[in-house]
Amino acid sequence: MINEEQCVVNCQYSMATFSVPDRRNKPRGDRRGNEFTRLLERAFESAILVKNYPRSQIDIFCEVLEADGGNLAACVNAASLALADAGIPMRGLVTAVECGSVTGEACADLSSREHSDIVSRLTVATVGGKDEICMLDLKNIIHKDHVPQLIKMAMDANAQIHSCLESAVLIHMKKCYALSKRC
Amino acid sequence: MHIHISKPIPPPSSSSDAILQSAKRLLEDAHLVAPGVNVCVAEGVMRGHGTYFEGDELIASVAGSVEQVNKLIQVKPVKSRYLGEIGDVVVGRITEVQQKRWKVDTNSRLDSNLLLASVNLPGGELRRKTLEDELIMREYLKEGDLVSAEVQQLFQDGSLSLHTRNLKYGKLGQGTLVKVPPYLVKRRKTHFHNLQFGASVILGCNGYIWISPVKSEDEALTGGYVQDIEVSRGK
Repeated sequence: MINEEQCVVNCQYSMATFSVPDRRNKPRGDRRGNEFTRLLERAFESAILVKNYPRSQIDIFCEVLEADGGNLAACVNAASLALADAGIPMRGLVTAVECGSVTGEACADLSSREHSDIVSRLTVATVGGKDEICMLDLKNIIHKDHVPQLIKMAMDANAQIHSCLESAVLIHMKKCYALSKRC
Repeated sequence: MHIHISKPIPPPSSSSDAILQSAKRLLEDAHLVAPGVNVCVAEGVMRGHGTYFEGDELIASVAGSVEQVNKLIQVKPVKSRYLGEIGDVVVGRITEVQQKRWKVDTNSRLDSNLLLASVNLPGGELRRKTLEDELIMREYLKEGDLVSAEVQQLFQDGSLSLHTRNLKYGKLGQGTLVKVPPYLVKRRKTHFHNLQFGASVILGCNGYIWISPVKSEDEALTGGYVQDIEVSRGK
């Protein structure tokens, strides 16, 4: 699809067959995978400065090698680092975390053993570590009174993850810059 | 419940330490930023590439070094696709044969153009290209062939226009292509080198490096369209 005004962001979410304890036969194409694909596209469309590249396409392919909860959040963080490394202009690094509400108490970054049908999980992605949410995905049901605490926990976690990713980008850039200027 | 996420630990490798040590002065002078970092106040500055205005602040949109020329502030990404400059030597692969030009992949955002009028014909002749030449373009260069060329000009949309109007450029024959990130290849006076053990190297500014056996005298004057395989097999 050629868009005359902005570039198209094309994502793919894929899980390797060996990423889960019970071997998966289809790496991609299942409903949850397709849903994650669309969520990734929407999240990065809002963060990348798409007006700079009309009639172009940016492909972001994520492959999960080891799944232990928070897959979507991990893909978002990894894709942000990849985009920063590739030199694609963004409004800020997009960071994500998966938080769960266990009997009203908010917990950050659940592992797959902590996933269950009675624990509601919310994946929140923000741009630049600030208060701007660019992606939200809720699994299972949650009482409306528990939502504010969950969102607040997710925002705190995102701010810290953002500073962590920013430091990592700067360490990497220093090395590349030194290499490029070396005589 | 309070959570604490610690900062990343730099990888403990000795080679990167050596690089960082030798470039310590350089790194102190450079202003490196990540996307989303505030560069300066928006008052009285002109916005260059790699930045955007938000309210009254100028914010970096790429990870790179901040460069300032008078009032123009731009952030140059350290790693990105190859951005051509006029006079650069590049190695590219033909992706399409169009009506009066070839499309060449040079690791840029857009395929580069190699116009029929900008190539030397086989045999090194320089003449006006006729309709017959247009019809047999595929016999000169077809999809998948490698060429070495020089950047002649830049189009508005950022794509490059190449030319092989010198006998040292042209179709590449037997050899190996090595791809490295473009930022590692520095611009120098000459990009064609003959190494003493019989290999010749073309360091393309776009990160494509071509390694081939040293060409004999007569072969070198044909612009690459004639190759004596018997000679190279003997080496």
